[in-house]
Amino acid sequence: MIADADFFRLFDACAVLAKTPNNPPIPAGSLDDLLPSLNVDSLDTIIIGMYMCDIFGVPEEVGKTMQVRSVGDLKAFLLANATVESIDVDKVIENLK
Amino acid sequence: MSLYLTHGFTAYSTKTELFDEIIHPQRVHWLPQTYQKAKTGFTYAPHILADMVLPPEKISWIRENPSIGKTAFILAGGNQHFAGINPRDNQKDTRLHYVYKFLPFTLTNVYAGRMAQQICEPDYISTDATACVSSLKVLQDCLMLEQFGYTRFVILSVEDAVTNSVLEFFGDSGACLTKKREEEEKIMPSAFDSVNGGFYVGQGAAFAVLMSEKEVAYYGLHPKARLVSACHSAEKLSNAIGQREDGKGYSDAIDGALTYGQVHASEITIVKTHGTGTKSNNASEKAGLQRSLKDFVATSYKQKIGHTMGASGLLETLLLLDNLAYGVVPGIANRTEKDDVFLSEDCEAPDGLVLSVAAGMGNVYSAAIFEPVR
Repeated sequence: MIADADFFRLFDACAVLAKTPNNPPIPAGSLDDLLPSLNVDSLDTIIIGMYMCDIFGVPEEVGKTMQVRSVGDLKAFLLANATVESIDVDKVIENLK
Repeated sequence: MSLYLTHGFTAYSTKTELFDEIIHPQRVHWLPQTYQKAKTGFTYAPHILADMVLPPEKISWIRENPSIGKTAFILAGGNQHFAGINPRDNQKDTRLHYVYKFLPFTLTNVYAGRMAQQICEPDYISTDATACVSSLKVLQDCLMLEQFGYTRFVILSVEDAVTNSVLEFFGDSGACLTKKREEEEKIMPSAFDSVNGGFYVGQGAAFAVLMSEKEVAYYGLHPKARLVSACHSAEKLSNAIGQREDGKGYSDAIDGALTYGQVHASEITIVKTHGTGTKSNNASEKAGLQRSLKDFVATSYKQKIGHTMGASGLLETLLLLDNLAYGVVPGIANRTEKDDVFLSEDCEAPDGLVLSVAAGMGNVYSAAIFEPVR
């Protein structure tokens, strides 16, 4: 449904929104990246998760059950619960701005 | 001890728009861009409003030039509406309805912590929910903190004022000017007037930085004003949303500020009133000012920008300091009687000190004295 490279782009765009300009995230480069290693803390994870759930059409009540430690965990959770069939990554990133 | 106001930014709207679809139709001063994406659940109107007084190019100086002592960050939020989503989840068909998906950020202190880390390097973070006096009340906190080695005070004041729930509550209580009242009584917003009176609710935010004298000198800054004194007081009254007609709450706050700052009443020549224009506030504030002060001129800004609640005290003080820089004390809009004290027209700013006062629900009053740097 979505290539890893595109998923990283989406993740990075949401992470920028979650973080403050003075404390930016580190771009994701692997599904094995642990979120803290990308400067994503617990509060950031909630925000990124909410944005990503919205993009993948994951119902809010399902999104609230999300518990992820890595970028790969997040992708697996979203794909398991997605209700959209495809994502126009460029358009989504533009809309996030 | 005294502090200096070195930075002050404001956001507000002088225009009004009628909201006919809400329970008590009324005009509000609002900034529609704060609600642009509100129904998505990913933006929160008061946070966007706060961002309007925090443009990165303006606040970068604060981060890049650290305090010579300790830094305090205070979010003067006026109430704990940040902590509750449900009150806004009524009347889903209005332009002001919204939900917000990031629950932690609706917790006032979580938001304060995030903003503090973004703006400065804080040694102290607090939030204040003292209703409509919030942004003036925290000035006394700053003066007290100075005695604990703090040399920089960063104040952000913003309140979720223009919402379905607030407009409904203010309409229910008869506090604000609704369409019905305007039509029946044929009045316009004003204050201390026997014909016109009342206010519209307004969105507004204020951001200010205060520094110790040493820090101002260290950075060679030219401050806008010196904060001479500030005092917060409570009024003894069984009605928590009422005011005593004798103005005891106002005069206690004013007298406290005069005493703490070692200022004689005759040194106060300009007053920024709370000036909501309600009958009870007109009586209470006028009595309190006349009891505590001698010769002064008084103005009000709520007729121009609405009642921005917790942000109003500091926001309106910043507007007055801007006016004083041009040598003018503005008159109170829509006065129907000539008045040289509660000004019906603009007047030339007299020399002397400035007093800002505010009152809030819950029997609270605050006063702050400033010396403008002219």
